[in-house]
Amino acid sequence: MTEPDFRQRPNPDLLLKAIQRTEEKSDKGRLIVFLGMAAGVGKTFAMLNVAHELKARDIDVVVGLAETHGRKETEMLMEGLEVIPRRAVPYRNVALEEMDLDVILKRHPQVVLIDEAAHSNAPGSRHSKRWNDILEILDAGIDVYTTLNVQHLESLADTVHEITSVTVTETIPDLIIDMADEVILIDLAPEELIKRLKEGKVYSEERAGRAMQHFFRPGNLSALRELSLRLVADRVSRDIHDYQQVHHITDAWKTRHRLMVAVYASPYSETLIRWTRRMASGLDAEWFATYVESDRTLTEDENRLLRKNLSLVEELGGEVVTTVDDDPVRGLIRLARENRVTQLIVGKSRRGFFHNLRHGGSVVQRLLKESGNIDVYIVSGESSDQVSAPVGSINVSQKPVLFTDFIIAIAAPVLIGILGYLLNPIIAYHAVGLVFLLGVVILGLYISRGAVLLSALLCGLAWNFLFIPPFYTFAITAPEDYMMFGMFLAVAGIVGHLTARLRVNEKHLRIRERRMTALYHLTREISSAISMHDVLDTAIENIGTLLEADIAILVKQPSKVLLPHEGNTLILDEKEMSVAEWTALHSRSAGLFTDTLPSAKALYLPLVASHGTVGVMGLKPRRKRPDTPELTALAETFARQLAMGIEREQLNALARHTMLIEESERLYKTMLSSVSHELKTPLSAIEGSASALLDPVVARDDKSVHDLAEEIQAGSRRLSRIVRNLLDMTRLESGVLPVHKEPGDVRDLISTALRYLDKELSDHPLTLRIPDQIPLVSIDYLLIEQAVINIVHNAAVHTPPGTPVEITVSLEKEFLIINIRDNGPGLPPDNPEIVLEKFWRADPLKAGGSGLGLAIARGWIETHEGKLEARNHPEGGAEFIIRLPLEVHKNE
Amino acid sequence: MSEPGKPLILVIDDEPQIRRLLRMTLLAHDYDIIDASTGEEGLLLAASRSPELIILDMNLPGMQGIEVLKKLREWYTRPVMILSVVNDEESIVEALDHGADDYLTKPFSVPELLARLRVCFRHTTPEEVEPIFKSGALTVDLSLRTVFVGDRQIHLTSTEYNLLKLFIRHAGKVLTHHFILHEVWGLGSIQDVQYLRVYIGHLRQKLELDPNRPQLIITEPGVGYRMQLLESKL
Repeated sequence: MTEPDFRQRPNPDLLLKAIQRTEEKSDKGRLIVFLGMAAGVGKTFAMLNVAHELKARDIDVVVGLAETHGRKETEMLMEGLEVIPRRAVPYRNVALEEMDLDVILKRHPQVVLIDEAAHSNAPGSRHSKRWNDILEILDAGIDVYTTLNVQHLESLADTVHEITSVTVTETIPDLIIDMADEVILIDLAPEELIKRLKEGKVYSEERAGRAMQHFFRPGNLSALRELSLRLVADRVSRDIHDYQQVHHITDAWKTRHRLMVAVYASPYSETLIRWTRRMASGLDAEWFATYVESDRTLTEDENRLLRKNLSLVEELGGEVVTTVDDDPVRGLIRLARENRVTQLIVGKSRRGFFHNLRHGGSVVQRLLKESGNIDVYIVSGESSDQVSAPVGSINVSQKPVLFTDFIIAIAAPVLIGILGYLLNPIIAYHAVGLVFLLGVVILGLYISRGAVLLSALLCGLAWNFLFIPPFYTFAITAPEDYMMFGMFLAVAGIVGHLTARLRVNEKHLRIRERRMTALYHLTREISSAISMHDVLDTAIENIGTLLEADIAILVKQPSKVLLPHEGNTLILDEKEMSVAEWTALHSRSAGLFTDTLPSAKALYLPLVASHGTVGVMGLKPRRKRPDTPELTALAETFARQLAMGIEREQLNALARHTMLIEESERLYKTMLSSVSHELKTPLSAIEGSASALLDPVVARDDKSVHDLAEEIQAGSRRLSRIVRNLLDMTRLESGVLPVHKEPGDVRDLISTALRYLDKELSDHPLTLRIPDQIPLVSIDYLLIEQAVINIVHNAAVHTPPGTPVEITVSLEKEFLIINIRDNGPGLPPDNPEIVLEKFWRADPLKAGGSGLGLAIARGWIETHEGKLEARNHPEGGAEFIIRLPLEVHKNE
Repeated sequence: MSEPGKPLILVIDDEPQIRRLLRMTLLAHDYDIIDASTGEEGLLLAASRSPELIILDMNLPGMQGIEVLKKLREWYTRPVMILSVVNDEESIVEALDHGADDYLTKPFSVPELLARLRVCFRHTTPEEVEPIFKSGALTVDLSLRTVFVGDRQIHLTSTEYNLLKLFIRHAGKVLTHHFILHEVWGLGSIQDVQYLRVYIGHLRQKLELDPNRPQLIITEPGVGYRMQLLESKL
């Protein structure tokens, strides 16, 4: 749950929002709203007129949808404009016509005209409201011109109802006015409108007559006109406000208010929400709604009502914060303090006297008492007609009656009765009463409150009937027994009730605790995950377990394609995939529990990180369950965490990739400078000798011919060694090298390696020490042979002639060791291992190698899980140690 | 074109430089030579001119060397020597197992080529089986089944002796692991190569002057073993 911060002065966030309002539109389309007080004022007419103007200025404008209502002037204006054909939607044997969203998106004009923004689409359309279509078109970067009557605005629906007693069914979030780049008021004097109505310019005659009696009364129209004028005036003042913020004008800044409205599963909450929103905009304050979940399981109807209320909050631009608390008052006060609320809005309590007694006074009384410096507004919730839900179902209190609880409640007194009967000969009946009491307390820990109270009563009666003299009657004779019986009932009732409540409280604490832990756990796991794969697996496991849902995570690839993670527990078919894609494209949730494509099987949440949408999370509850605000809120929180985790991994990968590119560029440069020199030297020797051979004078001298031929041979050998090294390096670095390991004889291997080096070793006395018994080693013979050749070659050519070379093979635990030691100048003393690096050369100017031989040797040895070490021998000279893991072959 | 008395050699190689080099060297050493640049052309020449020996490059455009070899071996019984590049031991073994007699890797030296050619021709010319084999310090009397290194008699197990006999019979020629295993143990599986390594090790311990640097039985890495023909020191 994010906590919008409380502030006294303009802060960067707010400024950013204001700037966004003016600049955000760069990639999104612009929204222009033609606002009217009622039908018939000429909005469509004005809009079409503007369209013609645009067209004259060569702007690509099309009519997405225009309702002419058969008005002649309007129809005439449609001529000459491109009209997108409507889409037929079959619905209950009637073909309804709707705007064709996809065709518009595909056609992608600069401007599209869409009449009646508040229209509800036919069932089965992508969005339930045309307003959502408009949002999608704006997202696509197309400008939208649309029309709207003032009574369709969500926050004004109540007022309109009060004025005209007409219930407005098609409402639209006030967001449209906030989002609009321009609101053009189409104003007409009420008398003029009535005149037009009478002339039949608005509706057919029959309809016009009815309309005039109801909606189009002069009084109504004046009020509606005032509403729309005020709305536009408010907007203008907000624009000025934005301007002030952007331009650092802070003088007019006032203390910020923060309003919080308490929402319940009640039809009255709707009025409360609208009231809060109006008051907040009047105060220019922030507002949000809160819902305190309690132990009550809501009925289906209540759930629907709650969902409706909460989505109303969101439609009105508010945020919903939920919490769990058995005591609504405590929950409200806690949230209010946490969020630094200045005004708290609640409805009048309709709870009964007993409820109030139990909770230490009515909700309102307690709120007033405990709210401290927070202003509390108590608003009477006059229900509007259309939302009167069946009151009976709403007032069902407590959680659903569990049959088993009552069985236990009845069975317990019977069992305790039997126990008491057995004990009675030993202990007095007073003590038996205590046994009953103990039973009630224990029951309180396990069964619901009502059942405990019933059980307490039954226990009291059983005790009386069986144990208080006279036996087997409910009559009581002794006055102290009267007192004891009465006290038993009171104590059992209170204790039973208290323990039951304690248990419920504890349960809620546990739920909250579990959610906090889960969030903490997820955050920690994600932050400690070491790869993208890891992040996704962790998320799927944790979120899936916690929300009892199958999870699909799709990560947006650089190509914009959504790639499902292989560990997904929810597999998406083509249809579900398209919902996920829609979610990613628009960064808005879709699917189950939402207004967009609600027929989908899962809920899809965009994974939005700081640099945009990184993917989509699909969530399909494992068992059928209604939407709860808690579920959605939790899922959204997880989605945010996950998005940050994914983004982090993507940035990491990017950094790694960049490093890799830099590294390979560096290598490439080194290789060019190193190898080109190495290739050129023998080539020029060969070419020079060959041309000398062709010289007739030289050719006459046999000795010269022989020397030149030898020169050519030496040059060629050097060349082929370099080429071989380069090829080996390429094979090694490509990483696709197949290693064919089989049991190999190291003695044999060294002998063949030495055969290649006869020439190089001719000046060096060689000592070979190989124990008689050495096991076969699992190696790729050719690769290790090449490694040995490269190391011995290195030892031979970098040491002065006459110095000995020693090769010793030994066994050490699980390793076979080949030690190659020379008696030359040794390795760089500060860092002997540097000679194993690619392109490192003792003297870069001296010809004699590509700087690859030892690096390749190390590469081959490492493909065998072996190790090559380079160090200086204490008695001088360099020492190379090959360690190869021994693998014992039993079937020798 | 071939002059009587000079053995005719067919070279199948697509690289003109190699063909030119071989032509020069072989003509100088009293061989006659014809060449082909593709496998198809080579097969035609082999059929029409029936050369004494064929040198076949494994990397040919169009029909690959191994295919040419398989086709040749359907009717051609004389020696075929393979030319290959280094690091291509698998295809060398495949060629040897499909009837090639020996191989050379490019770049090769001329003396090596000539030595191999001599070995190949030696095996084709019918000669009476010498009962005494000598190479370096090693003397084997095949009729008496005695083995001497210098004047010291060596005792070999029957498997070791059979192995040695196989090498002597094919002295100078490369023998693949597969071939040796099949001939000595009757085994077909290449998985049993470690048997072979162990026995070669034993044999070297007994026969070589310096087992760490064998001179008689040398390893052709990745391919097999070869018995060297050395100047007899006796």
